[in-house]
Amino acid sequence: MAEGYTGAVGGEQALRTFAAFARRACGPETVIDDLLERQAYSCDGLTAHRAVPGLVFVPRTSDELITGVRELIRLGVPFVARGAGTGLSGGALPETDGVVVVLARLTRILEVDPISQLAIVEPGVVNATLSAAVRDHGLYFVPDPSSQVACTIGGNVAENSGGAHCFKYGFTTNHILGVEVLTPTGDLVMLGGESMDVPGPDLRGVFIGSEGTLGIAVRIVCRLMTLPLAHRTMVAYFADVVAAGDAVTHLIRAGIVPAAIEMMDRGAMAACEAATGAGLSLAWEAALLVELDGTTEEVQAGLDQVRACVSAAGAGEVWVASTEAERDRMWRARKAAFAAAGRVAPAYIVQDGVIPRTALARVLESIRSIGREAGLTILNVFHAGDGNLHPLVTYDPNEPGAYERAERAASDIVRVCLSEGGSLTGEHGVGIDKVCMMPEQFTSDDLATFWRLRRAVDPAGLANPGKLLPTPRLCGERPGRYVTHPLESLGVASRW
Amino acid sequence: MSEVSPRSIEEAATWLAELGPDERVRIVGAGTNQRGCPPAARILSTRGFDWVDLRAGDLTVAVGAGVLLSELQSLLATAGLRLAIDPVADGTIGGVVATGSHGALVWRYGTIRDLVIGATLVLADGTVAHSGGHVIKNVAGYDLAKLVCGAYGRLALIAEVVLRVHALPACEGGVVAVVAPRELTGVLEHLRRARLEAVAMDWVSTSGELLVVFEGTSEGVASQARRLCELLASDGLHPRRVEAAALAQLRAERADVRAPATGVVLRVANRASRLLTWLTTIGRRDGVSVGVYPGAGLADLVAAGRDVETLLELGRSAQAAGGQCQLRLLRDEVTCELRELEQSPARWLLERVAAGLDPGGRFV
Ligand SMILES: Cc1cc2nc3c(=O)[nH]c(=O)nc-3n(C[C@H](O)[C@H](O)[C@H](O)COP(=O)(O)OP(=O)(O)OC[C@H]3O[C@@H](n4cnc5c(N)ncnc54)[C@H](O)[C@@H]3O)c2cc1C
Repeated sequence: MAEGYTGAVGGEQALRTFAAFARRACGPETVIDDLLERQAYSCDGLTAHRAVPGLVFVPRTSDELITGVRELIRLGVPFVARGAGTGLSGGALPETDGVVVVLARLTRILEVDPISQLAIVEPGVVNATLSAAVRDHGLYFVPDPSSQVACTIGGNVAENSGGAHCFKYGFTTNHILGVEVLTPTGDLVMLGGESMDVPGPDLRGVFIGSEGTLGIAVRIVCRLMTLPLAHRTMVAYFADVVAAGDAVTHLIRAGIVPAAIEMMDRGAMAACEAATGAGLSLAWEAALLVELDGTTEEVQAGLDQVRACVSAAGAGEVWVASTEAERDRMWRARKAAFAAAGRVAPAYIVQDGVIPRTALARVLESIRSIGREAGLTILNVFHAGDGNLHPLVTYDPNEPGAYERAERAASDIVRVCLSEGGSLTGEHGVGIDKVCMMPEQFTSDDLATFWRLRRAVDPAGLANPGKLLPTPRLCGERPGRYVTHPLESLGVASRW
Repeated sequence: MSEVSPRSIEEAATWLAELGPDERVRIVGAGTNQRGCPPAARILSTRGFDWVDLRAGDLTVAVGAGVLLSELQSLLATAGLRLAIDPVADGTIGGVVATGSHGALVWRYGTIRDLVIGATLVLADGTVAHSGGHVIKNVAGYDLAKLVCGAYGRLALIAEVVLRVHALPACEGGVVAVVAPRELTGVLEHLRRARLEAVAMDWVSTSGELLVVFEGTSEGVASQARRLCELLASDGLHPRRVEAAALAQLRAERADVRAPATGVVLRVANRASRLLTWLTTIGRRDGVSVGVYPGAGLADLVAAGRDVETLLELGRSAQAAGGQCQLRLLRDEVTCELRELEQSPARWLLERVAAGLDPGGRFV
């Protein structure tokens, strides 16, 4: 299978031609060619992989974006779209002979139509900004990645991002009605539309989650949902993770659809409690954080059912938030995991495998033994409803060989997920990080089919080359060390 | 024309791989919604793909493309589960996916594209491609399952899909009221302002009645239905509550309107606010009934007879108002003009994708 592109690459001269063009056509402020300034774009949230881009293009309007990218295409220069750069799989890793197209200045909310429950936004609008902007209409944008104060809707579309509240309402793909895409051939095309269904094959669904390899989202039609009238949140404790997993099964089988079901194991609880003092009880092996939302009656009745289910599964203790402040404390504990992991060890690798939820007990046991064998502490905090694990493999970077062991353990964990019929990634994407593991999940025919699709849309191989699909050139290289994302250091967001 | 009905994915792949370069293939499920096809095309029936692998604890089910939606729903129901779509006509799962089926539940659960989490496809040259699987959250690789939603068998053979299923709701109930088209917007606003969580909304021109459905606990359903009745009554409407037992009858009546035994169904899709405004301009037309999913921005114009002229005129006016049109059901051959309504702005891109996956244009 000879995959990948041999395609046209513009080279140094093309970069210079582009810089001159963009300065003239879009203004000097849209071009960054100074080496030091370019270095600021050399990685995204996956800081282990770095490359200084040949040039950075920062359009201020979508007209500038379209004009500039069409010129890149004409010149045969590879380009990598970049939103906020919070991606955790190296999706926005630059090409040294290419251009990073930064969308962060395209921040206009173009339209809000409350009757149709939709908003039309530019790709650089920050996720949390949209929800804040439509709140007065009683609406919100459902996908809520932990990075929502920083990440862009364009990035969410590219990664098909998830969040704690996606179990009930679905992921980004379920909340995007349409995307106007600037294709890698320079054409503008509307995929999807402004209704819940549009005629024809669902190319919008293919574009969502395509990690910038099928073009750039220039305008996005977001579906908005009504804010729930009420919510109730509780933490239930269990003597072991198997019982906690059973409780989730009971809940789901009883027809209860919580807005969020998050699980923490003992290690994670202890670390989170030490970091936040939220009031978690440390006498137990596992905890479930369950949030219900809906009308007041629905939520109250649901709460009673959840209580019944968790006690049937052997919950030892149940803490129901009775005030908004208490609910905040619960979520703070849950979301404090970064700071918390820092207390266990100076560094960690976060994994993002997915398993069929019923395999949970087995997989957690395997993770435990992987940790034991590697001599590393692994904390588990995850979206229990949808089987998306985020094990934190902690290590001390100063200890020789520790990073390598951690990395191996992280890969072993993903392999366990795959052996259970799961997936390499639930929300962080393949990017560059997992590109070489793709053949472990997909057959060569699957990958060849992906390539056929990609080449049909991007015949010259200009849009985010080297990401998502493995090439022989790529898969010999080794990443460096994991480094904390600045957002995490600032305590603005945690990694799951 | 002779029909083949492979019993396994491998058999289908081998058969396709061995066809001559000029041979055309038409994929047929239950055959309830086929368009005319070139007479020389070979018929590939999916009815041999008849397996179901339910993973109740994971809320997923893998289904062979030839299984009927009704069969799947009965099987799921015995486990307290359902596939959360309610199209007005039955068909095979492959057909449901290929036509992008849905019914009034589209408002809460979306269309089949929102429930498909994996697919096994066979390309025109016999290549077998998988994406997704038994996990409800998964972002590895391109989402090929979405690609074939609404593709009408053009891009690839859908051999198997994995679907996300939901628990049957503990309780359901609804509200019915005669509502004029110009009043539909007001109902949407009531629902939003009162933050009621309707799962389905369905208006039909034949009775002029809007049906709004709620699901959940009995307390939740009752309180939401009560609240909606109060709000509608305050607008001078005369709503009535509908208990779960009576919903089936209402749905069946509506299915008769939307899926007639003969004739044509023209789908109009537009932003909800524009669709509802357009609806107020078209008035009543003899021979054409209208079914609307108001919040979702979807209307079906149903011509039970052969009155294609009116449909054509309505379709053109819908397009002028920013809508997109599609022939959802055509039991009779229709004039070419109606087909011209089906212009997708993405057609050129689709053609490129089709050329990548099926370069010889085998699937017709
Ligand atoms: C602390 C932290 C917590 C996180 N928590 C979550 C979480 O809970 N759930 C989750 O799903 N993810 C999470 N992430 C990952 C990340 O935030 C998401 O993937 C996010 O959607 C990326 O948005 P971005 O704007 O930063 O995109 P970037 O990182 O800039 O880009 C990501 C990818 O999208 C492409 N891209 C960006 N914009 C466009 C566009 N307009 N058109 C086409 N392609 C584009 C890029 O080329 C790249 O491949 C987290 C990250 C961090 C650092």
